[in-house]
Amino acid sequence: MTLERSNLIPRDLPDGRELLVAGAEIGRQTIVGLSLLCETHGVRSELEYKQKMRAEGRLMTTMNVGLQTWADTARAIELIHRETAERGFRIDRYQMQMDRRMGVPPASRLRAAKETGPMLESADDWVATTRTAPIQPGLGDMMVGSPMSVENARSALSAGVTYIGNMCQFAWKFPSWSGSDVDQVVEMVKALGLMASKADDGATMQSYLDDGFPAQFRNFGSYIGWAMFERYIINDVIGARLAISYGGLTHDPVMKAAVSIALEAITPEDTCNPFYHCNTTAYVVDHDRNYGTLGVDMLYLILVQLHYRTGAAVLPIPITEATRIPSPSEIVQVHTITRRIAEYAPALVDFFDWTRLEAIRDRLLDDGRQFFERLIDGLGSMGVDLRDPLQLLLAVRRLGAGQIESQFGSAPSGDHGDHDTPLFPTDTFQDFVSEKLAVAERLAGRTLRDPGRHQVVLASTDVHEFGMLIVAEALSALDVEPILAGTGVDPDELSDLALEAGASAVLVSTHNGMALTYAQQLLRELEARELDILVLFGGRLNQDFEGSETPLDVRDDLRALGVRVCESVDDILGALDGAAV
Amino acid sequence: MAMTRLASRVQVEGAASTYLVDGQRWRRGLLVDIGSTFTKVSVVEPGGQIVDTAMAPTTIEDDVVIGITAAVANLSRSGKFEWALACSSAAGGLRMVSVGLTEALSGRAAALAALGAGAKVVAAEAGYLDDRALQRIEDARPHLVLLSGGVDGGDEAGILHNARQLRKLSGAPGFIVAGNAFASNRAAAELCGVTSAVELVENVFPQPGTINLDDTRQAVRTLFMQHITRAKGLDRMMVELRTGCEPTPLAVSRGLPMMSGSHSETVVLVDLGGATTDVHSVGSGSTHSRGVDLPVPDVMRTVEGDLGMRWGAPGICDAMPDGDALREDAEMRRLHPSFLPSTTHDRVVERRLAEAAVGVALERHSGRVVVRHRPWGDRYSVTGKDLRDASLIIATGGVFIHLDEPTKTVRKAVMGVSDAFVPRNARILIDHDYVVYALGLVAAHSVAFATRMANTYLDQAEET
Repeated sequence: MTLERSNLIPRDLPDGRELLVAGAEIGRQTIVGLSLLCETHGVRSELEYKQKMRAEGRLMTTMNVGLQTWADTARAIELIHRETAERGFRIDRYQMQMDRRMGVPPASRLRAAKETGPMLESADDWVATTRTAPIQPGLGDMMVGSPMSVENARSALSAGVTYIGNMCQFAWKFPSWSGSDVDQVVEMVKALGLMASKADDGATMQSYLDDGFPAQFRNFGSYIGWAMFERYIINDVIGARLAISYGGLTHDPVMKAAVSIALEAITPEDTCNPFYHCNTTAYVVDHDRNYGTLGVDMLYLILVQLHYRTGAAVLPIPITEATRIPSPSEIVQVHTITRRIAEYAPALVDFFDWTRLEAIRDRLLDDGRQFFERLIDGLGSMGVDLRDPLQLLLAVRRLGAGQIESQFGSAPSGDHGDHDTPLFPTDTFQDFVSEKLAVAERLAGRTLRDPGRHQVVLASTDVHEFGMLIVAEALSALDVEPILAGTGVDPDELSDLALEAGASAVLVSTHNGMALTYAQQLLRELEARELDILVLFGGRLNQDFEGSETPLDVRDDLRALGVRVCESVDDILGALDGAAV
Repeated sequence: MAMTRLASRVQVEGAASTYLVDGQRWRRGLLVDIGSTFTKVSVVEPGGQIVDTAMAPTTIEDDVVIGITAAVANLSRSGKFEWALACSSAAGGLRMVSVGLTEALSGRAAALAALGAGAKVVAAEAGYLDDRALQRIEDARPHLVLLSGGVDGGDEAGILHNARQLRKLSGAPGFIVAGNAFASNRAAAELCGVTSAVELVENVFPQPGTINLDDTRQAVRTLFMQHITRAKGLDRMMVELRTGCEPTPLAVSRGLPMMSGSHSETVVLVDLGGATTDVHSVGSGSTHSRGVDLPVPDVMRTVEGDLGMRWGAPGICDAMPDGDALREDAEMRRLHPSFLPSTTHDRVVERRLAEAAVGVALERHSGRVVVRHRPWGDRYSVTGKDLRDASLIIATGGVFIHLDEPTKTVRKAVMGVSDAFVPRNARILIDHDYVVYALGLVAAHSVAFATRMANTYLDQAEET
């Protein structure tokens, strides 16, 4: 027997500090270019531009743009620049919405399916991102954090792009790339060394929280704590610069303003955050309603910028976003609306009770600080070297968002039915609660034929739990009290629990391209326990196959195995009632 | 002869003073721990102070009372005792088999319950017992079998099948039935036909995400006193001292919470013996978020059967990254368990073995990251007990009496663990007076008096 070492960090992991040195060496061979915007305003980098505009009191705006090709996208940028100029304003920067294949090496790109967004395929394309119009690109996606971290960061810097992300994407899986999580994070850490070496030239690591683990958190305090963790890695451990953005998943304007100023409170003086994102989750197909959402969201974000002068831009999203990729004219439209709101906003700033907002901010900061300290403390106890960026990033990636928040987040403030209520519930969590209530209401009065004969065990194969919990609510409404197995449940675990519980059915929620493999193994495990019970699957019923560019629909395969495929709560109820689905 | 000598020192006679606690009058008392090698006795004053301790070789093979009498004779002060309480881990301790429906859930809960009740788990079975499983149980020669299976309202067939199978065991050990509340009474009824030593208690795994060990502990104590002490030759001692007798680790588990200041602090005890190393902890039962996980009990005991200072010394070498350097010394200790260190080299080896054993035992007891390799990728999770905020580590065992700087050894052992949730800033106490088992014995009768004893001890104790 030997002493066990942590399962989290492989023994043969390279030293993260040496990777930073290797990245810095690449930095010595890289010259940071100059963008058209910076040239126009006589500054060397976007950071200097932001600082200059902040000093002048300018409200900055940014847009999301990304059409099928770079050529289409470049034409859209030119058009938008021209039309906004005609309307008397300009947009400061843009977020390129790129194809995920940008994150993988060229050989892997050939095997991967095309996704929404352009690719930058030549040196000219890279240069054109900064020279097409005096609008500064922020290359937030598929850059640092991806398997192509080093190459993309070097190309972006050379072209004059100095805000490069996306820190939060280090936990993403990239299409058709066969490398390991270690390989991906190694590349990222090298790129961070490169970014650190160019900090004096304005190189800034960019993070958009809603693209990463925070999107799965239930508590806004955890958002802040996670931002502190990213700052710890980038600022304290690596010595680079980090700029954080946030907002797309939050529609509560007060909480959004409070979270924004909490993020600003932990931002170093020499840093300007990139942008605050308009909410998109409240957008619906009814575009008229979206105007209201947009107006309120933008007003609060603008008020915060006017009062605190952070140097961050506001990012309005076209009201059509829920139904299609917005056209250039729709982007112009939403910026026109935003500029009109900005004209009225200054008159409102002094009528706003900022002390109330700051009180929420301070509580968020307290909660976030505790999250951060517990996380650092916990990683240290797991044997993670707290000065090695590779170990830090790999450890949190492997733990995952759910585990990190449940292990290191603050205790819930109360009980909300069958689950705990976070201290500062995120909008995502609150939306889930609303959905649960709606399901319960919709099913009120309906009954199952014999609810007492059902003993149902519910499980999620991955991190997604809201779907499982909504089904649980539906069953409860029909007098069937399900047993929750939890998230990330494996077939052997689920079968054990089904056996102990004397289950009559197991219901599996799955989303991550594993439905068929999981079902096959689950059926084997149930058979090994001589359990002949109903097996129901819901969620995204697809499977990753070797050689396939995207996960394939496996609903028919599941049916062939005898699994009941459920595409709605009604299907589940039908299956339980013995009806064919 | 021996009984006469003991009686003259122990029997109830006029008290010098009394102390009223919890409605009871506490006078001077004697606490007895019959270990496999030594019998330890402690004298408790009415105010709760342990004023005297002594030991003598255990004589369980012959007459356990001889060893007790000798230990009492070794006390520095003689006097009369108004009451006595006793525990024992002699003659191999309490041997139990745990049986559950699944290994990971009710099976694990049953094993934890047996360990927490002070037993040595000599076999752990799960699933529908077949004849081969019965043979393994038979071969393990248990004193007790703990039968669990099914959450309350869940599976009934498993526990009923297993009860019917267990009827076939020859030698009829005692049974504790702690499974699905809707089926346990029928399972117990099956077993009542073969022995009178059957206890029906609350389910150890009553519902997903819940573990319940208290009731089982109490049942073990009852069966141990009623049925097992006689087999171990402890019955005469019980008559002599007018006391009961329970497994020593059970007393330790009950005593440890008394050392937890406000009863909310996490406290850890490491008992480094010759053959095994026990770790007990109270507090910091881990949070769990999934119904498929069995929670970690608040009061938990683990036994490292491969780590001991004499018979278990080679196992320590196996667990050390550089253990080969000590292998020769370890082997010598295994062959000569009565060895006492005398040279500087002996003491250095003793310290290194103790440090490694404490570190490994604490690491195994504490929470950690585990990885599950699955076709859809590795899953990482944090499981187990988070002891980082423990306020106190108590180290006990003969080795700590001989070490020059026992506290330093324990601290170094803890600091050497880099990837588990072991205590970080805990105060370290060396339990020279074997106070924890004493507290546990008293707490079974009066928590208030045990608390008084603990407070008195902690007020006086200094980090050594």
